Amino acid sequence: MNTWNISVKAKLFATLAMTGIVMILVGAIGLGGTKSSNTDLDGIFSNRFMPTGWVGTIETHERAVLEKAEEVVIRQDAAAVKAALDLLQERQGEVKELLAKLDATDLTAKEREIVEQFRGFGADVLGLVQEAMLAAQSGNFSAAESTLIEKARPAYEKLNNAGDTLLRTQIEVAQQMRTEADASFKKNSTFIIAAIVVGIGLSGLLGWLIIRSIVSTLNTAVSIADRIASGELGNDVRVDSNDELGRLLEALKRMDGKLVEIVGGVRGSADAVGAAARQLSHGNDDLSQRTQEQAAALEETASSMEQMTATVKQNADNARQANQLAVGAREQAEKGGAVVQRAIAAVGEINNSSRKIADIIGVIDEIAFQTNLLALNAAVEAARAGEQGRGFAVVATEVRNLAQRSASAAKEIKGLINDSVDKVKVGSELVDESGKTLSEIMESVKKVTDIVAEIAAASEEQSAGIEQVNNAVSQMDNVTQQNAALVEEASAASKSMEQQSGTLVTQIGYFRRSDGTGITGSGSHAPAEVVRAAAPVARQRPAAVRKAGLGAASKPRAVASSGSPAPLARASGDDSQWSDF
Amino acid sequence: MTNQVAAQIDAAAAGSNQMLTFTLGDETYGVDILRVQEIRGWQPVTRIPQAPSHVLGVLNLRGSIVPIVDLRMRFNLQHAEYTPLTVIIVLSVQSPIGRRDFGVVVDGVSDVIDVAANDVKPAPEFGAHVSTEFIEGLAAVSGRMVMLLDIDQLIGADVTGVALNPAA
Amino acid sequence: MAIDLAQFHDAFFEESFEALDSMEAALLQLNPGAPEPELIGTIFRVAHSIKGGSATFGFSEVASFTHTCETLLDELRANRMQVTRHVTDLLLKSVDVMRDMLRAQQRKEAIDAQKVADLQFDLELAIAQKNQPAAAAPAPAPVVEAAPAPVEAAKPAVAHRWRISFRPYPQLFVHGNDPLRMIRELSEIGELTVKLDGNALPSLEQLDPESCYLAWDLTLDTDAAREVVNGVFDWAEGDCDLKIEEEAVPVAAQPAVAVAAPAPEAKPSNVVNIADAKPAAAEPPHQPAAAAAVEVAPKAGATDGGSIRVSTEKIDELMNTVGELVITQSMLTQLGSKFTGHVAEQLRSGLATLERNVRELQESVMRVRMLPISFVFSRFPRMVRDLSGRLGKHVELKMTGDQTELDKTVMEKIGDPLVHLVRNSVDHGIEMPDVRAAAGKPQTGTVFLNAYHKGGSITVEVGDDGGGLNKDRILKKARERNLIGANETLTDDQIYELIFMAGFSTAEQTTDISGRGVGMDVVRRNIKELGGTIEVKSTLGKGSRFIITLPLTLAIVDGQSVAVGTETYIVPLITIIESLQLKQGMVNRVAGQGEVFWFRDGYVPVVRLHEVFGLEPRTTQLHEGLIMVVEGEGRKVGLFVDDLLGQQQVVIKSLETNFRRVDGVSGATILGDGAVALILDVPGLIRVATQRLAA
Repeated sequence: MNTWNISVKAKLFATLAMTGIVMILVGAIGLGGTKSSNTDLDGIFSNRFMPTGWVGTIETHERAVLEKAEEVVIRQDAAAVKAALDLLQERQGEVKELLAKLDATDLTAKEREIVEQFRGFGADVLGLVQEAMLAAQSGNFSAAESTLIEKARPAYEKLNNAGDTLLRTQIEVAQQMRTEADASFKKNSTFIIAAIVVGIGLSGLLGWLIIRSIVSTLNTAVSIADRIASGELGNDVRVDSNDELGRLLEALKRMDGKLVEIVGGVRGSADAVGAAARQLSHGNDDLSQRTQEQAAALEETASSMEQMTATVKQNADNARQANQLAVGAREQAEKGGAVVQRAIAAVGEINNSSRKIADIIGVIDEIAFQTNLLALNAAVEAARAGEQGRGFAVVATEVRNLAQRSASAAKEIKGLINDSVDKVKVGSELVDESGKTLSEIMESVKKVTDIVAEIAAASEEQSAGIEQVNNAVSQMDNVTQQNAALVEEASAASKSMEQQSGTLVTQIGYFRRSDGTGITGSGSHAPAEVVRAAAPVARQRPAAVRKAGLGAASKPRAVASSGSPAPLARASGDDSQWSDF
Repeated sequence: MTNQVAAQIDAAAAGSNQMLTFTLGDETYGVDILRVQEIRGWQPVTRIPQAPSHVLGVLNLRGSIVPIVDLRMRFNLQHAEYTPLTVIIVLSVQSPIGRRDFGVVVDGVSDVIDVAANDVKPAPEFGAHVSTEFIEGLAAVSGRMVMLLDIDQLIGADVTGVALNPAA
Repeated sequence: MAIDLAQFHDAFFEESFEALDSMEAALLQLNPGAPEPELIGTIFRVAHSIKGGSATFGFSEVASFTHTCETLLDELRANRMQVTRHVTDLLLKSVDVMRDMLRAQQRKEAIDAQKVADLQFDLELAIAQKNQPAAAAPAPAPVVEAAPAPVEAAKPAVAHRWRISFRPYPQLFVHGNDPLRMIRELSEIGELTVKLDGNALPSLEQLDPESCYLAWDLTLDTDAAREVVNGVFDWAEGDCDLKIEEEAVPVAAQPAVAVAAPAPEAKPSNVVNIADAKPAAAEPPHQPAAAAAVEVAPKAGATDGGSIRVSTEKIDELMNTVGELVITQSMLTQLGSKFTGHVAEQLRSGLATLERNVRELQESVMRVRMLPISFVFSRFPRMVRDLSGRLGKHVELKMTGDQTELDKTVMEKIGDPLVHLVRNSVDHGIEMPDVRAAAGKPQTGTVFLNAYHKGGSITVEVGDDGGGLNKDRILKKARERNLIGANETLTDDQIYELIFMAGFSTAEQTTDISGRGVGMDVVRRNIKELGGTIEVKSTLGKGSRFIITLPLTLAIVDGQSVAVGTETYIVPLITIIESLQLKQGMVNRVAGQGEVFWFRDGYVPVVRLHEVFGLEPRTTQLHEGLIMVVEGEGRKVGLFVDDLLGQQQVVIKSLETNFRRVDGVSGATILGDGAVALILDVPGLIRVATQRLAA
């Protein structure tokens, strides 16, 4: 195989290339032969067969014209001259066309010479007919007849001969061409057969060499794979080529090594998982118990709350009643206040009237004072008047007496009025005071009412608050129950995990070394690996752990406040994840 | 006028005379009624700068400007409130340059009384708030003692601007 | 007759003094050598009526003296004696003596008997000298001179014959007229025929001795014009039906019949006269005399409108009453503004009318107090005459505007200062004739008095065309008396100001007329007291002029009311320069001068009225009240008051009537609400404030 140390691809490519070259050679030879045959056939058809027809047509036209002219001359029909001339004209054009086509064909020199003769004769015939017809037209039928018979007919005979000569020449040429083609075919066929034989031989040789090198390597690979599949690891693989197959063996060797490593690891991990699962199972049992206890406590709390709610409700009812009573008391007090106000107003009016009376008395008093002064002035004047003023002085004294009396009367009334004003004042003060007291009472009652109303309102609020607390507690209770169930489930799951880890260890035991020794969990590293293996597990599913376990235990409030079964659903979702473990 | 007043005073000395009595605190005083021009009620006065404290100010008395003297203050009595019932007695005195009118504020006017000349006793050197220099004499009228005031003494140059000569 | 004659004394004295004034004026116009009979007549009438009145009232000394005068005048009138300078001097002295005697009677003082006797002797001597044989001894005059008028032979060529129908009303006597006197007077100016009409005379039981029941038809042949005849009845005008018609003078004069009127003469006259209030003014102008001529300008205002003599007391009473009325009216106006509605409008228009009427009434009453300044001027002709005679100077007195009216009180007080000024002009102003001649001036100097109204005040000018004030002499004297510093330079006005300082006189020798160094300061003080000003204009060698500006009246003043605390004061508008509000920081404190602020061109001290008057002000912060810049005696101060209230014309009432003088207060007035407000005396106030500051 050392001599063949090239890639399988290159080997296959070289073989196929050789086969291809042989095929191209054979095809080229075949194509050349076919081409030559075709050329010959074309020469026969275009240059030989077609001109034959054209020559015959020209002859026919010439004869038709001649015969027409002869008919005119014979009949001496002047009128037909014209028609004969027209026919002449028509057939002359067609003859010209056919001659042109004949010129275009590939003819041999001999053939060309004959064609020229033929052309000359044809023209002679037509010229002579024309001459005759012109004569006939002028009535000289005899001339025309002579021309026709003497000159035209002979010309036509020559034409006919030339035509026949041409036809024969051409058949000869065609014969010669067919013979040439036959010879070339024979030569070509021999060459092709030889090429095919050489090609097949070479290809067969190469193919056999290649197949041999590939199959031996593949067989080695298959045997290694078979051993691995049967759990035999640590095989000795030799690789002596570096082509694709060599690389396949190399890979198999690496796989083998890797698998030995992995199986060792898995074995260790399985052991660790087993230990962790046992611990977990134990913790779950613990948790389950405590959750049960919590649930019991919550239940107790809920019932206490219920009791409290009832008490508070009663309290609120009582407060409401007290409020109504206070409002009633306040209305009563207000009524009393209004009455006192009226009393105050009445006393005030009395007071005002008294004051007015006092004012009027004051005016009277002042008038008395003024009168007194006037009388005094009069007395002074009277005194100044001496004896004559005596009588006047007496009158003045009388007036003074009167004034003084009215002043003293006014004073008395003033005293009385002042007395009554004072008394009214005292009365009004008393009424004022009672009014004040009443309004104070009113104020107090109002305050009491307000306070009671506040208490009532507070009780209501309290009641509502307790209701809410109650709800929260029962929600908490529910959540706790659910938690308990989840803990049960978790416990079960951890148990099953423990079992499964056992199974895993057993299954891993299938792999063994090719030397017959079993694969163990890497000796002293095993416990550490277990712990290390457990940690990633915990890390990988932190959310699940927290939500399912800790979440239910340490965050009851969140559960209570949301009050929705969403956490439960999530817990069950987590459950499925747990199952995946 | 001078003659008339003088004649009147003479008459008082000779026989009976009419007196206007008024009260000031607990005491009753009398003035010759012919010296009285008018008796009128209290009215706010216009203050006079640099005037003695007992001269309260001036008042419009029918077109003439009349000074008002508070007798209580003149006699150093306790000051009393001025009310519409406070009385002003307008008196006239004779000065060498003519008659002078002025008002005195008193507590109240009592009466017009007749005083016989021989009822008038000289003022003793005691009693009363008023120093005896202002007292012309004492008269007992219906059981009350009336002090007859010498208004010419009472109202001196501090009010009238000229020294008064009662004998004129 | 139960009539107390004493009640008519005042009227008699007033009238007599006026009569004496007119007699004096007439005497001064009397042209020695060519006396005018009308003037002598006037003089005679005065003497005669005084004699009559004195006798009636029992002033026998006066009556006796007047009789002697009358005798002399009678001689003059009858042309038995020549009017000489000596005689007029004697008569002028007599006027003085009569005045003194009457004044003594009025004051009930003793008469200077010796003086009277001396003069009486002189008079008698004069009479005796001119009338050699008839050196009649003076005899006590009878109460009524019932002697019939001398009847003289009719002159053939008299100018007019007047037919006079004189029918007195019964009250003729009551008004102090004496038909007998008139008839006698008529008989003096011509030949008189008297026909008594006694038809109205009742029986004796019904006869009222104080009523006149008689009437006369008189025929007078005389040269005198109608005016002269009319003049006789002047005083009876309004008390009689008087008709004077001219009749053709008959060729032959009728014999005159003198009839003594039997009219009862019991009723004394002179209580109230129907008289021309300006007897002096009624005199026609006179040509200048050689030595001391008196020229009285024509008097346009000298109408013969009736007038009543009323005592000023009554006018003051009337003014008081009107003042009260004004107050009542303003109270009503205030009250009326409170009404509303249709009637209120009428009420208000009525009140407006009332206000106008009351104001007119007030003005009318004010005008009653106004008198022409001729009452003061009239004494100057005599004075100038006497003075110039004594000094040997030729002085002519020219008076214009003597009809200019001013308040009686002002007039009474302006007399003495004017006398002083005129004396000064004659004594110091006018040079001796030879000095004047040397200076190229006419020998006769001119002293002129001019009075005219200017705005709300009256201006009186006293001037002369004499030597003028000698500034150097004034300065020298001032320096001698240490009135000014030795090196002080003064403006002309300041120099002239010096002559008003106490104890300053420039006259070389002291005369009894002037030059004793008291005078100008008194003049100025008097004028200031009247609220006036005096100003000097002088040109050396050309003369000097003293211009006195006085308020028209002392009874009212245009004032600005200001409030300080609760009190209201009146500041005379004339003293106010400007009222302004100070901003904070405009006031500086100067040691010893208190607060000052910059006003116009100098610092003006602030006088806080409330401090001066001891009041409780609304504010003591200068910028919160108002400053009123006032001027008094040439000093400006800023009077600090609370507020300005309004301007009004107020009636001045004296505080001194019943009280005494108060520094800084010139008087009081009664406001619209009846309250009294004091009127500030700005110069006095400034003095008080200055003293306070000094103290």
